[in-house]
Amino acid sequence: MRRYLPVLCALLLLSLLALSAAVLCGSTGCLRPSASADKVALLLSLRVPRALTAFAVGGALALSGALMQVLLRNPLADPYVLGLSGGSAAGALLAMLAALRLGWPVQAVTAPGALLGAGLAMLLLFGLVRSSLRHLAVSPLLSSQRLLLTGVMLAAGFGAVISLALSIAPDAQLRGMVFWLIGDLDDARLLPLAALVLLLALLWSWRHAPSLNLLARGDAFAQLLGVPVRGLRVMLLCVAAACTACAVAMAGTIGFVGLVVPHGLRLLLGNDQRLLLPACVLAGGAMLALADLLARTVVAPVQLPVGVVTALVGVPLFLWLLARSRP
Amino acid sequence: MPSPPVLLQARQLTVRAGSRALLQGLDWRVQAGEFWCVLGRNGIGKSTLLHSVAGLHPFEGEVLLQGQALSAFSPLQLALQRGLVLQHQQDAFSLPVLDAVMAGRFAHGDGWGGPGANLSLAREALEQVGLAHLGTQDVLRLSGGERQRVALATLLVQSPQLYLLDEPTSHQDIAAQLQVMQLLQGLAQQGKAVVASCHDINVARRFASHILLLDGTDARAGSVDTVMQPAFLAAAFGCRFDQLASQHGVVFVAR
Repeated sequence: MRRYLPVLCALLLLSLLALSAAVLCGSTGCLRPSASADKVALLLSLRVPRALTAFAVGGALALSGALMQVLLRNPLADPYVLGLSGGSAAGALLAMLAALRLGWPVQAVTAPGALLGAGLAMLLLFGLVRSSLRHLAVSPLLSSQRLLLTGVMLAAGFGAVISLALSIAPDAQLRGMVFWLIGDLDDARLLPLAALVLLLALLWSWRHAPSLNLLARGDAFAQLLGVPVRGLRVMLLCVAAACTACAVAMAGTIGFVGLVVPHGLRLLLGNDQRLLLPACVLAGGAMLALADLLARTVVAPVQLPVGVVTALVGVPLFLWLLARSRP
Repeated sequence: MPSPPVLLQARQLTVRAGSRALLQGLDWRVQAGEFWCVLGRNGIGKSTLLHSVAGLHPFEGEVLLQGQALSAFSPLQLALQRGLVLQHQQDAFSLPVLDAVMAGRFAHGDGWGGPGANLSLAREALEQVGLAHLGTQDVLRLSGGERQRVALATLLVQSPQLYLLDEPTSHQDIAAQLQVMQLLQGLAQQGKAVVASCHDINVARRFASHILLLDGTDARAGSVDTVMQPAFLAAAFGCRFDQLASQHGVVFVAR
């Protein structure tokens, strides 16, 4: 384990640098020592929660993506693949529509709606795959297929609900709803909850990283070597779902971080979960904080949706990593 | 001299695949120091039997490890009692071979890797299966036979009492087959028990001490000489066998 400490320290340093950059810079330029105390206090009160929100959301998405890739034994899995994000997004949009109809403030209902939707999606998923979670498949490739197919179907269903909600939404609200869907880091009210969930999830996954290393190589394989696979899989799904739900409730469905960060780190650092999982939290958080900084500053005062930035920067970066790794 | 401990005992064991009964009412005892080969036609239940006694597949009847019911063990305790090499090795993620082998130490509490002392165990195991030169390679780049021997090395570092192997020689070239069988024979001689399913009856006859011959829902268990009779083999495999004498004993030729 000791050989991993330098890498983790470097990533921690990188995260701190990314966070400070995100706090010190913004649409009005970077803070100078000469700025008045009032101005500094004002900007910090706006930027610190936002930078931390970005960090927590990015870390949660990357961790959840890495866990899903282990659970589904598929390097292409991401936090959204099992329909959890679809559920939360559908919940959030329906809550927005209901709030408009009832005259409630839209901002207040989005996050609860998203959490409710994620919970519902989770219950549906568990209800549908209960029997296959109990079964231990000997072939590692077959075992996750049922779960994956169920999740993909749920995601498709929620996708239809999302389209429906968008198509019946009043024109004035449509823009806000679409921006929420792409990802929006304005709202920091859920930050304490998300930080707590992320911390617990990280502690859990780090503690079980040796078991997850075996689980990634097959259910039967892990069980034979002493891992209580059935319980571990259920917990793994719950932890990943909690991370995803928090991230989506806070910031909408920001794409890409959950897929590209774990996968990119896997190409760079190898596939040892003991290193990969904490590294994902740090790198995912740093990446989203920097992406948000770009989104705020590139064409200031216009703010780009951060999801667009993550994809625009992430796609070429990832393709480069892929090309550079040994075929 | 006291008789060696019974490591595995099956009582009235019935194993099904879906609704199809593969084995019915099998009574079987494996003692320390014995090397069993499980023979039988394709689909007769060799793998399912191994999965059942390893705790992966549901069964009816009783399976006892060291006199205790299988269900009384936690997965971790079970991993110290028995290990199984699956028939097919599939990995989705790349991993250095040495790390792959170290997975076998999980039940011994080496999940966090300690101060590197145990890596020597993995190197030793790789050497025993003839793959010492591949330690730093990626498992995804190995051939089928090499992967199978990596799995065997994993089982060696797991170091259980009962070694279960599902067709350990199936992807091996002829020299590697001999090496693997000699290794398994050596394990049995050290006081472990080995149960391997196998398709080559001559290799089985030469290295195993005992044979479990599956024939429909019926089974014949015993020492090599009592079970490997042309008549029994003919009934189990549905073809006739000639016996030829060789310097390693009798060789069976199917016709």
